[in-house]
Amino acid sequence: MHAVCSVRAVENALGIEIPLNAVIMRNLIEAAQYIQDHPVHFYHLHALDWVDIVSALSADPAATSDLAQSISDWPKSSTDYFAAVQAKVKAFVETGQLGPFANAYWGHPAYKLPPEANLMAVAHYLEALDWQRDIIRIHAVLGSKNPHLQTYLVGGMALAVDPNSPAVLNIERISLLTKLFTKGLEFVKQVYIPDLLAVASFYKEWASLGTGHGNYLAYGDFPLGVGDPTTHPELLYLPRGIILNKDLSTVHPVDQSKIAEYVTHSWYEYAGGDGTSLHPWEGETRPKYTGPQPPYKFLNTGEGDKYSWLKSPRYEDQPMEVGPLARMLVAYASPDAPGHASVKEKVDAVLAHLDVGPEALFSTLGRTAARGIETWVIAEAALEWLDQLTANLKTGDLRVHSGELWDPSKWPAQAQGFGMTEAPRGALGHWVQIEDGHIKHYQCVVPSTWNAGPRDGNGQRGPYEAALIGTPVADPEQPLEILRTVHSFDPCMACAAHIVDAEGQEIVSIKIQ
Amino acid sequence: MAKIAIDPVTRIEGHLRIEAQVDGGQVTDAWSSATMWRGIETILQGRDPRDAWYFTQRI
Amino acid sequence: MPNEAGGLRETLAQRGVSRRDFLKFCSAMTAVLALPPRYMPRVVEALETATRPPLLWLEYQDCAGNTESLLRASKPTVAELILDVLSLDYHETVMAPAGHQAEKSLMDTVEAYKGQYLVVVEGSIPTKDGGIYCTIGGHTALDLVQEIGGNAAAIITVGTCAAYGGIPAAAPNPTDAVGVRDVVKGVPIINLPGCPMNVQNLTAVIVHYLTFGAWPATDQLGRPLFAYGSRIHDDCERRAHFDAGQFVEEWGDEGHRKGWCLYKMGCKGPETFHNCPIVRWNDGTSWPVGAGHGCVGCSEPAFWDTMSPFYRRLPSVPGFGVEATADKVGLGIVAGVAGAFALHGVASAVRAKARPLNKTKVEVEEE
Repeated sequence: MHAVCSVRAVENALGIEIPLNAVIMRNLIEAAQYIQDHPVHFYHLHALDWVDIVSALSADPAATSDLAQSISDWPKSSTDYFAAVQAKVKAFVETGQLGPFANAYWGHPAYKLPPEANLMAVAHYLEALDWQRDIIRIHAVLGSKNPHLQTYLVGGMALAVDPNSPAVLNIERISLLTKLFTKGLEFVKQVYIPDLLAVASFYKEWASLGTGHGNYLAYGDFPLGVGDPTTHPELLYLPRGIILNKDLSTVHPVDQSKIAEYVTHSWYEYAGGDGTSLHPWEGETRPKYTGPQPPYKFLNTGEGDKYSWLKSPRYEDQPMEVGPLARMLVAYASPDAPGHASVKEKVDAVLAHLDVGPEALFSTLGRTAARGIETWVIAEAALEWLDQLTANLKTGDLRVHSGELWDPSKWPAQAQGFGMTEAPRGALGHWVQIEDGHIKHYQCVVPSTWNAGPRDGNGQRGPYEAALIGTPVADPEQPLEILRTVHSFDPCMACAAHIVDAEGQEIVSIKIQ
Repeated sequence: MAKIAIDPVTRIEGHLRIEAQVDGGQVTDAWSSATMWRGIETILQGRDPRDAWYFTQRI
Repeated sequence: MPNEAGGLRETLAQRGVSRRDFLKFCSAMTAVLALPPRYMPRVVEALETATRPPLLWLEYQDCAGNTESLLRASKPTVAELILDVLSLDYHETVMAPAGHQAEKSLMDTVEAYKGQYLVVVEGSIPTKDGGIYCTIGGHTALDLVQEIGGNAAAIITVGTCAAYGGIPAAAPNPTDAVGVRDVVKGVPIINLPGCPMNVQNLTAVIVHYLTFGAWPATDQLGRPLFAYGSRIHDDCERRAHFDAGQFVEEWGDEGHRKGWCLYKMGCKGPETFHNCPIVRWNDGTSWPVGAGHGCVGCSEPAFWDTMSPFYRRLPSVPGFGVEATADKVGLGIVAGVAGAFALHGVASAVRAKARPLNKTKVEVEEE
């Protein structure tokens, strides 16, 4: 997702408009990312906060089969199937080598699912492992490989299209895409969403926990036509906007000039003083580690202390939560957006099923539910975008790249631009300045920095920090409940911890306290 | 009253540390810390803008 | 070790995996390892009787790309790998416990299996300023990799960052990031560079170890010859177009639509040693050059600096389209970067003579 944001930033700087085939291919790649990433988050990164594997060993397979069939028509739901899964888990436990499942929180009082629901979830944990491997082949078809696709280009895509050529994206490959996207939608509708609803119904108290500031920012994404998506938000299927203080009656516009970052509590220093904030164009990065010398037990978290490699991005000085919940809320509250109807239908259906109102969305559970709803929305839309691609090829349009400005000798001596996209984890922006054909300045402000950043210059907590206030902790030695709220954001710290400015930086020597 | 540290926070991508003050069975304050830095934008300086997507993809 | 009684075959049988499927898996592994078919019985026997060796997967300055790659494993699948082949006792991205409980999982294995456990490292290790640019549980990555890696039976580095420093070590290397071989000594280290590594090669290395009790033969850069002994350019499906002088001139042009050679668009295949064209990616679905974008040389040390700008043609040589050209191209780039990169030139020359005799295409199975 950083790749598409980067090419958008450079295309924005140079004024390049990419062909429709490239627009659609990028949308399909991003859609596949959501369709694969969100279920992997739910089953493999988040589920064990709610699902007790050990409890699954005492489930009745017949009752599990009844449960599964009562919530979905997914075919793998017989008594024999769940008995076989249970036998697998039992055999694994009996080896005595519990591997990644050792020393966990099994039996913790915060686990509420009955054994049968636990067994069903464990079965789908394993099924999802195989399913995701197949689904992500969409990225190999359109992007050559996953992870780290390799068909992006400034100006379009490096994947040629021709219905009649054996070596490119042709009808055989489009048929494979159709099969894979269909398989994706089936699993989302028949497994992911029913499991999400089943698990959520046992944890409704989490619909009023983990709220945080209640401010939500979405850049929006999935342009439906040709044009710079960064400067033409009206093209976007999922809309751009801001919701403040949980007020769904007003969606505020996004103005990138109002974004600025603090380093007051981050291990950097600003020339103008650490209490100030700087827009990404003006950003500075001088690392200045002032934390404890390793090995340490605790960070210094006093009032004036720095304690993170993340900066603190703010919009008009307000902390913002980004991610699936922000996107779904903005789309839900934006009646003119192309994706509004689909989002509203599914959000309302989920709320009705759980018998809760829209206020339940502002929570740990709401975050986790929004991720599932979004997957459902995108999995349906992706099949339409695939039809859009086929229809465009039918017109004879085989263009995948705008080559007029490929050669740097045709670029202006100086240019600057920014790109906006929505990664699965939230709003992502890249700002680039180009001089004499080279990068003069580059900065990213990424989703997990918005969410996981430390306090700012005004002492306001970051979204993780704010959301954790009030979280119940039954046993401080086994902080399962804290993990629930942190995981509901789907942290990607690899992404977050690199927010630096490329201009004139000087890596200063670091004094260890 | 206890201050706790969760590090590594697992089942995420990357390195996250959470410190929390726990009083009376609930969190009363929290600190979120990223514990790894690479400096990729620093590395991008002076390079071909057409290569930038390949670098930032590794973020 | 636990699980003395049953090997992989027995465990798989308990999970309902048929003997036929098991043999297919062994056959695929034999092929990936470029072993003659007569070795297949040994692979079968080894996997049938092997216990589950503990494996600790350590992440430092990484993007989790190699972990993502792990999730794409198909021969065996990641579920089989975790449940049946290995005991994945520590992997921050997949493990259930966090914090102190996660550290306990790590240290339990380090203490109980000293000198016996395997370590996989993903990501580079920052050495500047005492290593404070990457800490886990309050310890620096540098201390952790030396203690945990130093007591391992062997270390497998996954991805170019762990192998050679990778992107954090690209100029100006703001954190003095290095690969594992620079900071851990006295332990066998197998390097599986790539951005990310292809998980087919990781599973093959593990199976090789379980089968023969030894690590596969490597080049001077620590890379297994079965996966890195051959140039991309020599195994490339577009090679005939290079030889015929048919090149893509512009993205999306007729040559691009016909699958012609990407050399003029900056492809680094002539100077890159990796088995991408043979095993491909994502269950054989595609690979970069096959899809239409040039190779960027991601399995070569310091490729971020030596192979970029990625769209610049390799140093031009006269006489396109003749068989000898590739070798001249290779010599050209080696000469071009010789100052900073002398070791690589030597290694390239060695590798050119060390191509495997047996290039076996891996069968792609559609479900």
